[in-house]
Amino acid sequence: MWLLLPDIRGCQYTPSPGEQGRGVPRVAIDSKFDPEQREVIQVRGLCKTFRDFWLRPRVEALRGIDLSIQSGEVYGLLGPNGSGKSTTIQILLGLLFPSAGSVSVLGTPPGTPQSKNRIGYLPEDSVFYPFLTGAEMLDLSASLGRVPARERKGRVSDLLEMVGLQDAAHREIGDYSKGMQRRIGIAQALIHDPEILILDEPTNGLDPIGVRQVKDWIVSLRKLGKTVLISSHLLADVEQVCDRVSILYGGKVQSSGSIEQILARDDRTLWTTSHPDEAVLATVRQNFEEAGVEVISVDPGSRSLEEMFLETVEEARDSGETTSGAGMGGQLPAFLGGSEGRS
Amino acid sequence: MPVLMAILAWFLMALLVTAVLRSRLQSASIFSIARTLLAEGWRRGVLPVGGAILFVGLALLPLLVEDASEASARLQIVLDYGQLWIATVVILLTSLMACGSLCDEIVTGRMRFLVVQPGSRWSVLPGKWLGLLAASFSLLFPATLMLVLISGQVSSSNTVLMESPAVSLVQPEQLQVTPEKIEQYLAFQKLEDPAGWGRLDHQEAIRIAYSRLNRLSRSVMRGGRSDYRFSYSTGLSKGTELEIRPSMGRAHRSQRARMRVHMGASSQEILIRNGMRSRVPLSEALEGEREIVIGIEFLGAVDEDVRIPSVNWSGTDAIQLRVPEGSHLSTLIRSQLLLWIRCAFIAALGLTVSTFLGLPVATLFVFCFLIAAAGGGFSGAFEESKDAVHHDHGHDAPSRIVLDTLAEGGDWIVSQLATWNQHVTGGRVAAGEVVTNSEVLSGLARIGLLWAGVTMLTGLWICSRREHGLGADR
Repeated sequence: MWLLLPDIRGCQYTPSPGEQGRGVPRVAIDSKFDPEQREVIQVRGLCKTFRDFWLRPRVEALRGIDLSIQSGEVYGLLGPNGSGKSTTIQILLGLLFPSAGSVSVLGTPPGTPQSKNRIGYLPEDSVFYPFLTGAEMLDLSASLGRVPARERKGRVSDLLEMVGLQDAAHREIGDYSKGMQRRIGIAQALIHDPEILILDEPTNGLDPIGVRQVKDWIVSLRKLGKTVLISSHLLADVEQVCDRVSILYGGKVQSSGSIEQILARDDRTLWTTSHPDEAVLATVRQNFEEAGVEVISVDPGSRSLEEMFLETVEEARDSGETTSGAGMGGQLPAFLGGSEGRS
Repeated sequence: MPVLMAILAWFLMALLVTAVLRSRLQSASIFSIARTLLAEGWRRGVLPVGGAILFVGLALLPLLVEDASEASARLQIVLDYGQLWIATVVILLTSLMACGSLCDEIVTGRMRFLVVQPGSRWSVLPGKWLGLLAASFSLLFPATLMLVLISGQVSSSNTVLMESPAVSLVQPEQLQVTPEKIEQYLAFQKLEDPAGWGRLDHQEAIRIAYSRLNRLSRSVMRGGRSDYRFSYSTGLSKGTELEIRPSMGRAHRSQRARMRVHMGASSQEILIRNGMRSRVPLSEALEGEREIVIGIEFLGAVDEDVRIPSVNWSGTDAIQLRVPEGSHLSTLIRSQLLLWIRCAFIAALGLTVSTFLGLPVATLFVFCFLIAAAGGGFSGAFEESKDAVHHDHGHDAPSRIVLDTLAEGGDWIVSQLATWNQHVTGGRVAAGEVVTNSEVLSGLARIGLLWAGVTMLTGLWICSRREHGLGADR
């Protein structure tokens, strides 16, 4: 059920005459938005215009974005290239100034030490020092994140084990594969036990096992009460882990709401059953037709390629095969919030 | 004792740097960034390769002195070229690492990663600066040690630098024409000749008075005598010598003349040559004195058929006392400390310009500064003392004021650049001249704290303008 609502969130952007009547955000009725829950990220009417050397407007990246992200939820920021996802994230991190609008992260302006101390960030590209080893990189992140010296060694060890890089801890990051660098990136984002985790394309470059693990970690982090903001192109991944999403296009929120509601279709119903024989199928089909229900397709059950891949790798590992890449990885370490949240 | 103190100072600084980088303070982000820069320097091969170039150059120094017969000449050549080589390599490496490190962070996007970390925005530049100081120290200390060993090898004794004293040069007060002296001279002349001097415009009178006083203070007429007052705050030590380099006008370079030098109650006659340096040991009775007056009487040419009307003191070093003070080694160490302080400024400059310029332009900027500093140092070496510089304010036309202001600004820049040129200090050390503790402290205050501090604050300000300095607008 979609509602057509004109400029429902008080967007400050005024569309040009040519844009009147189009590009108005569609917002699903949001059953997961709880007004009682604490808002950790609040964005109102956010605009960002990039200017050239002579301060002439060059690119209008954001044109009145509204976001409200609550504590303990996994929020997805979706959109094609150039839609404004990265700009929004950089403003939330204090890397860019907003041209207009207001932004609040944990009740403070973005970029302040108070807010940065409670945010973990995984950048889109692996930008870590190639000449440092994995353990040294995490140690650097820990010291930059003001982790007490006595806890650093333990956290580094725990996180290396979590991301399956304990065997490559003393290899230089320049020798890591892209997936391994991604894993180190996730570990460094978690090392100072942040309240909010901002993940820019978290599964980018990961193998299916890594993708599955990242999704498991995100779910576990949500259980621990942490807020996760994901920006991704991989819609299937977002669909599986996010509570709510916003879809951006042209610097504006085109649609937002909880996953179930924005994906719900009132003209389709999907059943999953055990494999029936032909006679049963014929009977069911006949009953539907008599009731006036159209059967659109009946597909035989099949495994997904992801399931098949995971099973194959699992079998290879069980048979004693070794790899120079990342290991299996494990559960979230205890310092992130206790054993009850472990995956 | 001064040698031990200087060596102790080096070790204390080495210990301090090591302790700071490895102590419990290592948890602070500033030290983590410094350690990362050091790791970058070593693992990317900048420091090992730069160090290898530095030490190969030093190892070749003995080849330069094969033709020199005297040990003192060999020592001077080794010290001169050795310090020049060390200063060149260390300063170039420091500037390259400063520009390269920050530009690399910005281009690869690591700067953003650093800046989003809690509390690290203000620690990126200071952390890198600290790392550059440690990196330059890691080259400077062993290179200085090697230079000391090579100096011993090319000289007669391995401990030559410890045994040979450095000298402090003391110029007489008479050669400095101060504004007070000009005013006194003018007052006297106006009393004596009110019709002549009294009618002159004041600025014109100052110009003429300066010119006359300068000429008078720098010449001794035949049969005449000039007294020169020398002040030395700690008292003249044993072995002090008076060094003179007289100019005798048109007389041939080989022409000899006689002078009588009066030191307290004693006097002695000496032979001098045109433009050649002569040294006269200080009378024992004057040892330990803080203020002495030396009279110089010009007796004329040795050959009776030659007439030399006067001798002149041309340049600031034409007449001076050479007072032994400390050892050659301690002065070398102080000179290298000054080099380290200059590296600190170069590091700050490189980091700051890298916040808004790309690697090629930032490096070019720093190199231009270094070339200008070399030029400033060259000019500064021939500069008269500041009191002797006279500005003619006779014309008050606006264009003249602008030109005068620009000229004074240029003088100031040249004098500042002279303090940043290590080669001048290195040349003095090679010539056996002392580099004092006060010079090191003054360099630390002016170059290390004031200029490097101002430069770093500028860089921090640029970085704090978040989108600038992070590469967003490149």
